Amino acid sequence: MKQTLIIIFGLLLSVSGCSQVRPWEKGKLAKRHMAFDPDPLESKFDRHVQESKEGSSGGYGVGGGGCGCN
Amino acid sequence: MIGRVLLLVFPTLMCILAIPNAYAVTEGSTLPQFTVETLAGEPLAITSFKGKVVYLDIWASWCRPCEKSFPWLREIQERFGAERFQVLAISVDTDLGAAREFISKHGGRFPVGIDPDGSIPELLGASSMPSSYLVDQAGRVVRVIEGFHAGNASDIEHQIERLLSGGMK
Repeated sequence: MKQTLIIIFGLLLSVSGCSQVRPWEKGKLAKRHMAFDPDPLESKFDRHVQESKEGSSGGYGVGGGGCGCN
Repeated sequence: MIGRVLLLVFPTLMCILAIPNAYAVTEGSTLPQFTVETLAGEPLAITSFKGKVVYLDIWASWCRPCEKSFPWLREIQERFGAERFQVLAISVDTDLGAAREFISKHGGRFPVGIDPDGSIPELLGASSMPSSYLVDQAGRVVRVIEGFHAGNASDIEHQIERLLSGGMK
């Protein structure tokens, strides 16, 4: 019983740390610098430089992992 | 033992997760009364539009679908006139400068309220951005619109027409 209470208390304590971000509270998340790729053109340029230096390409995103298997 | 714990924890978690949407305004319910401050700093009560069909729109300057919806909001306000139809746009921007700039670019001939605390979408139980509510002359919500989809615009316009002609109760 004591063990059960400890587990419940622990779970409830961890849940109390959860907070649901409401749709109207997403202003900061919508900012450009919060995006994974805020400037696709700059990213493309960076990749081009890296590909030239490293002699390898791919490994970004889902498809074309650079393993030659696609 | 584990089964008993899960039996206790699972409903508790479900209750906690259900709380945010428990008070959402639904179609057929009466729009809660509220007063909002306009961009001009004047109080505006929703009750002042009683007798009119109201299209209440919750928006923000950082919300791209909201930006897409504004030309249409301007268009319907112009088309249906202010005598029997009213668009009321409420910004939830915490940055009032951004809201003002947005309105100077995209605003129309309809009042704009500001609600930086989000108390109105909270009251309405808004679930997306933008969230819009089509309200009839008696203050009853006849349609809840989540997001903005240009494909639904004509359907909403027909619904407004029917409300204005008294063909929809």
